[in-house]
Amino acid sequence: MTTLFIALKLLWRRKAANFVLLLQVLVSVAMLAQMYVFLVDHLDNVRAVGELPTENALVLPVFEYYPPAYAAERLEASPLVEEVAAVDTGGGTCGDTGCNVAIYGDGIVRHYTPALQSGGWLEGEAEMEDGVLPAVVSQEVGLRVGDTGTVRLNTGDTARIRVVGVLKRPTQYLYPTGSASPAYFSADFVISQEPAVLLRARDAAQSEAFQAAFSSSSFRTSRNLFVFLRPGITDAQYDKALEEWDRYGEITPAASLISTYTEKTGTLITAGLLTFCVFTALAMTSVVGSNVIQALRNRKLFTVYYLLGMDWRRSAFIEAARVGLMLIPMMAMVAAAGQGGLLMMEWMTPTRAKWFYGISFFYVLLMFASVGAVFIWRLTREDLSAALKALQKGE
Amino acid sequence: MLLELTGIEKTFAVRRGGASVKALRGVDLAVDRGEMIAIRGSSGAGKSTLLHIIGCLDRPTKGSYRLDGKDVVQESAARLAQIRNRTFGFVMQHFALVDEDSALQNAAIPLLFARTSPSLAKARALQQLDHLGIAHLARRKTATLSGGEKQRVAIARALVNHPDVILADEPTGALDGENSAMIMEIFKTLHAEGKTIIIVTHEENVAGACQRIITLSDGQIRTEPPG
Repeated sequence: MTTLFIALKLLWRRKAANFVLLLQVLVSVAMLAQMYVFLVDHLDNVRAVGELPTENALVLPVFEYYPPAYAAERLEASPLVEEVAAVDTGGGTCGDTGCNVAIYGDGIVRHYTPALQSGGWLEGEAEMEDGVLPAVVSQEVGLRVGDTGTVRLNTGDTARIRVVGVLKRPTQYLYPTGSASPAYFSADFVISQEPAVLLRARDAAQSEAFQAAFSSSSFRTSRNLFVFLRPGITDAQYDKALEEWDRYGEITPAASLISTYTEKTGTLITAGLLTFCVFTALAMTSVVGSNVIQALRNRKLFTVYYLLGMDWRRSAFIEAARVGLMLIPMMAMVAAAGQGGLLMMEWMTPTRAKWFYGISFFYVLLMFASVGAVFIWRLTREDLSAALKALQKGE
Repeated sequence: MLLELTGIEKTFAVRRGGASVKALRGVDLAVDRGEMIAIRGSSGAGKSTLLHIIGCLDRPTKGSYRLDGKDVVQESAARLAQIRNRTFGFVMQHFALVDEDSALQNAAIPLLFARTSPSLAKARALQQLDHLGIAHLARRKTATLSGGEKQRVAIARALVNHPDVILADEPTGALDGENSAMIMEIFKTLHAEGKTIIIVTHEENVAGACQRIITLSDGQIRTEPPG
């Protein structure tokens, strides 16, 4: 108790400096969160795009002056093309959960299967019955396989769905929302992680709600066409086809979405890593500086305590307690920062958030303990005769 | 005898390959309960080293030290800390106070290590401050006190655990004449009350106030009666 009491007293004496120190460490934890999110997001997106067959697959964001249906018709006429498919996108709610609604053409359903937690994919499912559409939903929607639910579209129209599959968490599915030239067109343009309801285009076409929605501006007919080529095409045929189809939009091999994304993310991660290293170095400098000042003051204080009846070894325990006690407000600040949206928690699943708290605890512990250990070691090797002489001289 | 030191030697190893220094070369000293002794000597004679050994702040390299009949040389660090806390009260030249603490907090520090309850510690510390006429300074930070006031706080701290022995290393060295006289009056009063007091000093008037003067020269002792 005496050890804890003295450690608390030492912390309180330099409360302002300690608070600033904790803030500096917190900033480096925020940088750590950024790195963590980049990394797991990268891994998730690469996994998601990897679910789309990239061999012989192209993505075509159609130019504004071409109707997508026209471009699709022209492409399907080519002997090199096996199939062209599109993803229509919109929004709504399912129960109380806001969600994306994605409608996949047959070609997408045949060539693409997102990771599922339970149930099966839309391919092979029976046609809709009594106006209830088979759907795959994300876990956040709160429905299980076999459940029925109601989707209210942004247009105000409602449709009944029957769940045939539930997506894995974190949710990853094809949901094109943007386009770019091939050099910049990457996986994050065609993937989403929001709660979702996924449907087949041929089912949606029979639904009154979706028929009304398609004529509304709230529901966007996809301008991203997915082109599946026949196998066995030569490189020359492939290159010629790309040159020809270039007129319809920024034709991009699906594989390059991954490589572009990996390159982009790599740059972001490198930048994040550099920023993290800078802030960590700053935080470490502050921790070291604080320990140096504390060590100088404590030398005299502990010598006085030694004079008055303290076992010198207790000084090491006091220092260790002081470092340990700093962890409590530090982790409280990390938790508060997480709740306050400063640690990108909204980008993490609950499990990943727990992992992050664990990682940040060990990060902070390592930072404080590694610096503290050096000073504690020096304390145990203190020349007490010299310390007492300095005390006698008033130093 | 309260303190018996026999054949005490102390050698300090100098770092970085230098020669070792022999601060004490076979010191024999016996102090009876209730004595007031001055230890004198030139700078580097070993006075502070001897005081540190007497006060269990340091161990001798050689020799024996019996405190109230018990050998303390082989005692553990924890036991020596306990002995320092309960048996000795220290008064230093530059006071050795914690500037950020109040006079009351400083006076109570030995009770912290004696595991006294906070309320009792506060009461006893206040009692000692009052005994020395500075109870009105209890809440003042020691950094704001004068030299004489600081030394009285240090004496209060030295007395708070009712130790058998007061060890003072140049207690008047940082004080003016008036305050020095006041501090020596306090020591005389404590001596009259039965305390054993050992004072390291190079001041003639301080040494002259003691029953016995011990002169240390080059790590060895010479005893002289007061003139």
